[in-house]
Amino acid sequence: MADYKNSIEIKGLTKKYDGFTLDNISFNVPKGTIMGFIGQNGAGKTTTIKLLLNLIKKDSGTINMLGLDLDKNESEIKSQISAVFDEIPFHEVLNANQISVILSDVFENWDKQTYFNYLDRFALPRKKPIGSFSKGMKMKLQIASALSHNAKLLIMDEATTGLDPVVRNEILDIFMEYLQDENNSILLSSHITSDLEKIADMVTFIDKGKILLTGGKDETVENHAVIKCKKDDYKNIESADIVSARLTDFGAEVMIHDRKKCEKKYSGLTIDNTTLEEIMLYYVRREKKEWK
Amino acid sequence: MKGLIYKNYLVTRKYYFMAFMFFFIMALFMILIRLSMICGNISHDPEAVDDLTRTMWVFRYMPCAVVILGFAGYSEAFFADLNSGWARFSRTTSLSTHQIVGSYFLSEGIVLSFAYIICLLYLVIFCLSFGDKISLHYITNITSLFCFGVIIQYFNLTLAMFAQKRQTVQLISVSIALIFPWLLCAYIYPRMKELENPDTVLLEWMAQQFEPIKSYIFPVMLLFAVIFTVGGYFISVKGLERRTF
Repeated sequence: MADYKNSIEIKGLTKKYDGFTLDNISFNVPKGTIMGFIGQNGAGKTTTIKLLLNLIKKDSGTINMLGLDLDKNESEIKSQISAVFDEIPFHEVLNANQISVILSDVFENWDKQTYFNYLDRFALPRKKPIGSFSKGMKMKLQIASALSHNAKLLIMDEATTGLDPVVRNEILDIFMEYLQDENNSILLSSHITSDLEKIADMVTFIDKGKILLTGGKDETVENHAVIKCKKDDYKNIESADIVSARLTDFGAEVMIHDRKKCEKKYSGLTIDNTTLEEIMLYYVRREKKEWK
Repeated sequence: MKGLIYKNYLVTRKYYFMAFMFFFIMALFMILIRLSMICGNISHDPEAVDDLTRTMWVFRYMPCAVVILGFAGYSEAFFADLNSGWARFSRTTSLSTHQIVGSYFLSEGIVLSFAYIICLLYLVIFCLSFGDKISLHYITNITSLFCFGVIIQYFNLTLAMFAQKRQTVQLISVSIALIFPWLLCAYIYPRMKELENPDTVLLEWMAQQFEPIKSYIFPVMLLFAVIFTVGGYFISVKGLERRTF
């Protein structure tokens, strides 16, 4: 495997559907990081992930993963990655022991010991059919199998959606451990921004098939802020500084994208910290500019 | 591919077990009748023995039909497996579409071959009990049945790989399955006037009707089995590649 800086490099990726276009998107997932891929439902997260896994054919653009071109080295790349979806991919009659036997044939580097260690850690039964598992147990089993073949890259599509906070936390802890090896990376698509707030190093925000933001999570959160002001003060804020503004009966809450500049420019106004969720909310409504 | 074949076996074994049990019960039933013909109640009635000897040539194939067609009819389980997310998951691994499709075809081939061997063994025992020699005729009949099983199974598998909705698979399968009784009726109906003769024995008469085409059944079945296996395999690979996830 070639030496590489970014686990994923996407350039000018485009896919057209009737009524939706993934429009010329580009972003990188640096090696050793966890990238949160956020956006509302239908924004294009799953389409991007399907293109990364070559489950659908792209119209144009290039995808490099683990330093290799996906078009030319699909099999080699796929032997080094793991994909986790919101639903377990195994028939419900199978049990955890049988899944190990099956996957040992699928993955060249299958590590039975690691897999059974995860099963013990998650307290998952080995002989019970997975049809009788809860959603949380199924997800844990899927993650145990994804992490047991020495994958260098984990691609997860809404994997934590629908899980209770305890299970989600448990899974997020596992991801942090996985990232202890600096060669490993994770692309985690989710609309649960609180999870990403906890663990992501980087975030990429997609909306209506376009990348709106991509970069370090802390940097992104620090650069954005919410100005809470009266309507008269709101009129004085330049449109170019505003992502969008929520108008209330008492005034306005304005999302700005360059905090440092705005702190100097609007020194008399209250500027509050923001969260990924708020950033997502305000960006989604950026075309309206003002909303209630 | 061992792991994939093992998975396919685990997913379908319940159905195989059921088909095998039906075979076993029917075979037992046939053997009990035969025993009764030799040393039981039926043996005291020479006319009944004579009648049964004439008609059992066709009934002896019934358990074989049950096990071969039973083993062949469970593409439903494969369909459920594909739709459990396995098809999508397997495409995210380094497995090729040929390996994925090949595992299904091979699994079913192994199971049908197993059914074929069981049927041959059963037939040997049954024929020996009648004092018959195992002629090529019996073997071609069972092999024709086996080929028919292969045609049905690989057709269903191909359909499961291509169609993503269970209803589509069911509709096409049932429509095609209805063609066979229709063809049978179309062939038999014009000749049915002969049945007005009270001396005609139905099964013997049926056998006579098929006499002119009998010699074609085996080669035709064999040819179609090969076509459905090879063609079905490549169409399935295409189907899996074009499948949307």
